[in-house]
Formats: sequence, structure tokens, C-alpha cells
Amino acid sequence: MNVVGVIVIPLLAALVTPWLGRLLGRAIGWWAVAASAAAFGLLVSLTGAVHAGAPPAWSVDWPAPDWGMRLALYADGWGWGFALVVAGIGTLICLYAQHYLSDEEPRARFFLYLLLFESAMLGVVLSANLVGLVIFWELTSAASFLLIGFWHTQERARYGAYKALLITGLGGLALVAGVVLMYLATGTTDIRELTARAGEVQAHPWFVAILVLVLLGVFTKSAQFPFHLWLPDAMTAPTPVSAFLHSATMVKAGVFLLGRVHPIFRGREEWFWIVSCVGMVTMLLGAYSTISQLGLITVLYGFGTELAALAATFHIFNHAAFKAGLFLVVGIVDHETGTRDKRLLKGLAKQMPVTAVLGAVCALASAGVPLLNGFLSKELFYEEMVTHVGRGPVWWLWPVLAVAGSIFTFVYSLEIVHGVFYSKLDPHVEWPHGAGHGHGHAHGKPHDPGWGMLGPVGLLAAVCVTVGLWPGGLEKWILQPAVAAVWGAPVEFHVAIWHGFTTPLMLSALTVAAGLVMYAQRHRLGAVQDRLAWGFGANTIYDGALAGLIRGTTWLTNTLQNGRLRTYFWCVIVTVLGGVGLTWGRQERLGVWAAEWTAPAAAEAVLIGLLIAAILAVVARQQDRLVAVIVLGSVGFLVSALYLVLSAPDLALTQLLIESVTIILFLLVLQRLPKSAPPTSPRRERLADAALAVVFGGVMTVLVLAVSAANAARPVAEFFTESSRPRAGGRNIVNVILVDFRGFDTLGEITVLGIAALGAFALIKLRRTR
Amino acid sequence: MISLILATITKLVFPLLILFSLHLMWRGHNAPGGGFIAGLMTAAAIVLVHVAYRGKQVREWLPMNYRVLIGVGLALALGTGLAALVYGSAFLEHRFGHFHVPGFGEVELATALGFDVGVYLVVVGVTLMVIGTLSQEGK
Repeated sequence: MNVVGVIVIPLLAALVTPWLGRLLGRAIGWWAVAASAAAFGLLVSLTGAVHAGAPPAWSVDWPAPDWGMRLALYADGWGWGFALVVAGIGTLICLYAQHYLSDEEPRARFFLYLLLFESAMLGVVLSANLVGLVIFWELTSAASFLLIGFWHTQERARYGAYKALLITGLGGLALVAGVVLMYLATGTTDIRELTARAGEVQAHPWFVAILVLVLLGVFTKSAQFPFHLWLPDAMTAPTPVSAFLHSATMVKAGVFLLGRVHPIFRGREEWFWIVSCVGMVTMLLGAYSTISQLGLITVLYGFGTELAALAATFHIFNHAAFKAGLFLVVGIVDHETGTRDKRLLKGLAKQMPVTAVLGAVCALASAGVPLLNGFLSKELFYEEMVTHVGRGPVWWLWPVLAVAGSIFTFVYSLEIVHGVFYSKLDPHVEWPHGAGHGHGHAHGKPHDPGWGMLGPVGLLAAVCVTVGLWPGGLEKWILQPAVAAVWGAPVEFHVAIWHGFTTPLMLSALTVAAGLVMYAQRHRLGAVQDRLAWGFGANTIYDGALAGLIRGTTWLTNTLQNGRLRTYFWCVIVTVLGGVGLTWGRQERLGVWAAEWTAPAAAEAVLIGLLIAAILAVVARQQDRLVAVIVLGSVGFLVSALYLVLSAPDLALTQLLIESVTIILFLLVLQRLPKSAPPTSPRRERLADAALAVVFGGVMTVLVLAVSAANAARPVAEFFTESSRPRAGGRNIVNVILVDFRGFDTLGEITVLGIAALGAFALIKLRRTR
Repeated sequence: MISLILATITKLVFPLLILFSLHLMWRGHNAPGGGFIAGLMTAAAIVLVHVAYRGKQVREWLPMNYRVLIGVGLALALGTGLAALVYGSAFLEHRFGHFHVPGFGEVELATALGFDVGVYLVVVGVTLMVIGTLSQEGK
């Protein structure tokens, strides 16, 4: 049950937030802090079980175990370690946001979204079943949409939110398709079982399709090239949201899944080439640091070796710590100065010394400077790249590109440390207080914020330093079980700060040196970088595709829903004819002519049929709408007479009443129409209509005959006749079928009725107000 | 303009129509009738009053929002289905039993009747809501 609690606690906490928010007012953030901390505590209490190699698990045979759809959770080293990061950083984010948000902002709504998102993310990492994982996956997309668009009055926030939702949502659909294919190929959706049967998946003819579909989900979520374009726009969210989404969650969900399916897919050439190349391109093109770091992790998982798995997993944890810290520092700067404009922000260390130190630690960790955690995982990254140089003619490119990408990271990290904090302060700078999102302070100079905002950053910076100096702790408690789970078997390794003068160390030194040179030349570099980042015009494609889609659907709607009843009838009838024709084409024989027909009350039926035909002939020639409707109504009454003759009193009664009510409805509509006769369609159209009517009527007649000729082994009518009285306590079979045997159908039907009535109500009322 | 003859007859017939429709619903399980038919008949009866008395009078006699009827009916139908879950049966599995009611003798009661009442309310609500909106629109 403990695993469930980890997801349920934030979920329940989120659901009561709107009400609690009224009660607690400003203090609602503390409720979120408590909920996240409780989830974190629960995870910590699972430590023993995870380390003992007995992952705590929970499952329920719901909703459809026969179809591989069951809710199953487990906390193996990978899921548990990730969940720790999610809940841990989640707690810090809640604490920070409590102090970050201004009083005017809808606080309860913010924490509702945040906790929902956290719960969904915990669900992703703790799922033992791919179906469950996909559901939580989509929930993170939905929740992140709400979070990114939190300042929904701003055009840019809405744009960013839609973009994120569309791109990750489309990827999610691909992932669903991949999971379905995997289920069809193996008959299971259980991750543990799939891992055990990895060979079977890899040997399956659908392997490449499965791989590509799953990877589409991964790449869209973790903003890999060419799907990276949603990420920069998502930064319009409140900073605590960006900090959460782009360090420990959302984008990391993609990377998490990469680690999850790693033992199922790794070893195949396709896996290596697709994952590593996409990762490398992302790393190089992603001048935005989060994207670039995500590229690095992706490259490593693509290599699919033990060392790479270790390096990637290690880097995920390090990245979560320093990137969350960096975001929060940016948030503090934004909060204190009222701007995010790099050109304005200079030499802030004088005014906010503590923030500056913490920001520098996180930025340098991100740059991979020794004695900080980022250095260690980057070192492992280099080592992995260097190891493979001998494998082929152009393999030396890997370490070269790796260093190139890392230099970029180094440069922009330096830009934060030196540019924002430790450069010369411009004494004349005017801080746009109150600009941005209305949370600027009215008081003069920017200064260090209170412990509520500094505390979380301090803790994250402390993690960067601690892991950098003493990697053994993280290694023992989190990395060992996590890497073992990613690799699929226990892995022997030891992370050390000092390896001697190895090639990776040289590459690190080269990175730092080149980075410093480039930083000195940053003005010239900036222009190049801009061109690199935007040169491939992915955004143009996105915007164009979106506009095209809207144009296309508008055209389709206007063509099909043109307001002319004739078009609708043709659409419906032709579709039905097509469907019937296709199905019929597969049958061996129609069975209509072979059957022996018994016709009860044939004479009466024929007589009524003739009467109906005569009335219809009158209606067709009638010019006055009112007369036409009333005459048409008599057809209904004749049909109910037919039911009576064929001893179906219930149907007759229903038909009679329906007919009466319909005529009233008709009359009500008629009073809105002009009195004059409707214009008649051109002769050509009327002939076509008549032909269609004859064909459709003929097909329906033959269909009904064929259906009644198809003798089932035991007609269902017999069952109803026999069981109606003893099993449902009713003698009226029609009614018993409606309310009991087929009660579910009826429930659906009355629901549809209700929705239709509401729809009609809305349509008419809306038209009226316009 | 109110037709005196129609109004007088409506006043006499309306209660009978309602009673008859309720009777139809009650006996529906064993004889022709049921919630759907009864609902239509009730709706038709109320429409008759509308025709005879022109709206205003009706709102005085039957001051209700038909939209609410739809919700109540759906909830009732769903409720009888969910109630079955409480007793460990499948969703919408109905039960019935025989009870002795003084003055009436042996009476059979089925939970299906509750479901049927739900259907009845939905049908009444839907019919009157659509007719009501259309007739208001016409003015």
C-alpha cells in the first residue's frame, strides 16, 4: 500500500486544495509543502525494501486485466530514486512558490495544479504497467498545460501552453500506439515481464515500429530535436513551475522512460543510432541549457553500455539538483529586480551576495567544474565517448562533438556567474519594479530574499557540493539500485573524484579552457549562437502546420456542414450504404431467398402498407408545409396500427405518443418558417434524390429480410420469453428488456436524450442572444 | 386567446391523463406501458395544458424547471444501478420481491421500477424542455 500512498497523498491533497484554500488563505502553500513532504517521507521509508532488492509493489486487476490493462505500481531502484527526486524537489518548489507568488495571484489554484502534476509524475515513475504509465504520462501533459498557462491573461503564456500540450500530446499518442503494438507482439504490458522477454521484443518484426513510436513519445516529452521547440516557450510559466518542469519532472519523464525501456531495447543498432544521434544533435543545437543537458543524457542511453547507463543516470540526478537550483535563482533575480532581461542584469552580487554564491555554485556545477557534482557525471560522459573511438572510421566524432556541446554549456553557465552576478554594476540601472507579473516589490534596491526562497536554493546547492565532494553517499543510496534497474542486472562501479591524468580529465580541462576563451569572445559568439538556435526554423514549421490544420478543418467543416439538409442526408445514406455493402460483400450468400417466410396477418400488413404509400404520394405533391406535416403524421398512426395488427402493443403505444409529440414539435418549428411553399430543387437533383431513395429503401428491405432469415441456433427471443418472468419478475418482455436485461443500453439512451435536449436548448438560446 | 371549451375540457382531462400515465408506468413491468410511454404521455398532457392556457397559467400550476427533471431522472436511473453494487450484485442487476400491503393484497415490487421512474423523468424533462425552448423562441 505504501507505493500507492506516494501517488495518492499529493492527489488527495490537490483535490481538497480549492476548499482548503478558502480556509487557509495565504497559508495554503504550506499545505502543499506538507503533502509533498509526506510523499517524500513515505518514499524514504521504503529505502530498506528497495535496497534489499524487493521492490515494494501494489496492483489491482482493474480496469481490464484481460486486455493487459491493470493498475500496477512498483518502486524498483530506478522508479524509487526518481520519485525521491520528484517529491524532494517538489517539496522545495512548493516552499519556494509559497514565498514567490504575490498575494493577488490565485494561490490555491496554483498549488492545485502543482500537486496534481506532482502526483501524475510520481505515477509515471512508479508505474509497473505500461498502460498505467501512459495514463499518468498524459496526465502530466494535461497538468503541465495548466501550469504553463497559469498566467493565462498573457498571450505568450497561452501560446506556450498550447504548444507544449500539442507537441507532448502528439508524442503521447505515438507512445500509446507503441504500447499497443508491444502488447500485440508479446501479450503483456507489464514492464518487468517485458524486460525479461526483451529478446522476444527485439526479434519481433514490428520492433522498429515499436521503437520509433515509443521514442517519439520520449523525444517530444524531453524536448529532443526536432521537438525541442515547445520548451523555450514553456518558460513563460511562473519560475517555480519552470524549475519543477525542466529539472526533475516533465522533460525528465521522457528521459525516465528512456531508462525504463533501456533494458528492453538496448543492444539493437537502431536504438543506438536513433537515440544517440538525436541526443547529440539536441545537445549541440540546444543553446538553451536544459535542452542541451537532456541531449547529453539521451546520447548516453543510446550507447547502451553499462558505463553509459551509469553516467546518464548519475547525470539525471545531478542535473535535477543544479538545474532546479539555477531556475530558482533566476526566479529570485526576476522577483527582486522585476526583469529577466540579461542585458539589464549586471553585478548583482553586491546587492544579493547569498543569492550570488548559491547561483554560482549551481551554475558551475552545470558547467562541470571540478569538486561539484556536474563534473563527475560529465567526466563519465567523456569516458564513455572516448571508449568507443576505435569502433569505426568516424567514431572519433563522438568525443569531439561531446566536448563541443559541453563548451557551450560552460559558456552560458559562466554568463550567469560572471555576467549577472560578478560583473561590474551599472549604478544608473533602473529596475522595472512591478513589471512582469505583478509580483515586484515597491521598495528600492534588490536584495537577498527571505529564507523561504533562499532555503530551497541553499539545499540544492548543498547537494551539488556534497555529491561533488563525496559521491559515495549518492552512489550507495540511490545510484546503485537505480543503475541496476536501468541496466537490468546489478552493476559494479565506483564513482571517484580523482582518476589520475586520464583522457576524460584532459577533455574536461580542454572544455574549461576553450570555454573561457569563448566567453571572452562572447559578443561575437552570441550572433552565431542565435543563428544556430533558430536557423533551422522548426518554429516556422510548427506555426505553419498549426495554421494549415485550422484552415483544413475549417474547410472540411464548411464543406460537410454546409447547412443544407440534402447534403447531410446524402452523407448519412451513402455512408450507411457503403458500410452495408462492404459487410455484405464478405458474406457468402444473402440467405434471403432460401428462407421460408411466415407472414402473420399478411393481408392487413399489405393493406396498411398500401395506405402508407398512398399518403406519402400525397405528401410529396403537397405545397403547403402545414398540411404536409399533418398528413405525414398519419403515416405514423398507420405504422402504430401495423404494430397492433402484429401484436406489439408496447410499440404501438410508443409510436402513437411519439407521433403526437412529434407533430407538436413540427408545428412549433413551422411557425418559424416562411408561410410560402419551399423552393423546389432543380429537376436533376430531385431525380438523383429519388434514385438514392429507391436504392436505400431496397437495400434496407433486403437487409431486414436477410437478418430475419439468418436463423440463430437458438433465437434470443426464446431466452427472453423464458426468463422474463422467473428472472426479472415481469411479464411484459419489452419492458423487462428495456429496464433489466438491457438496462445498460437504456441508461445510455436516456443519457443521450438528456445531452441532446441540453444541446438543443443551448443552440436555440445561443442563437437568440446573438 | 383561450378557447373556453378546450380550457374546460383540459381542466377535466389533465388529472386523468397524469393518473393514467402513472398507471401505465406502474403496470409497465407486466402489461403494456413503462417509463418511456408514461413519460411521453405526461409530456403530452402538459403540452395540452400549454396549448389550452398559453404558458403563463402552466408556470403557475407547474412551477418547475424541466432541465432539473433530466438530471434527477438520470441520477435515479444511475442510482438504482449503483445500489446493486452495494448489495454485491453487478451494476444494474435488479431485484424483485413480493410484499403484502394491507388493502391491496400481494404486491410485486422490483428495483427496476426505480430505474423506470428515472426513464420517465428524463423523457418528461427532455420533451418539455425541447418543446418549451422552441415555443419561446417562436414568440
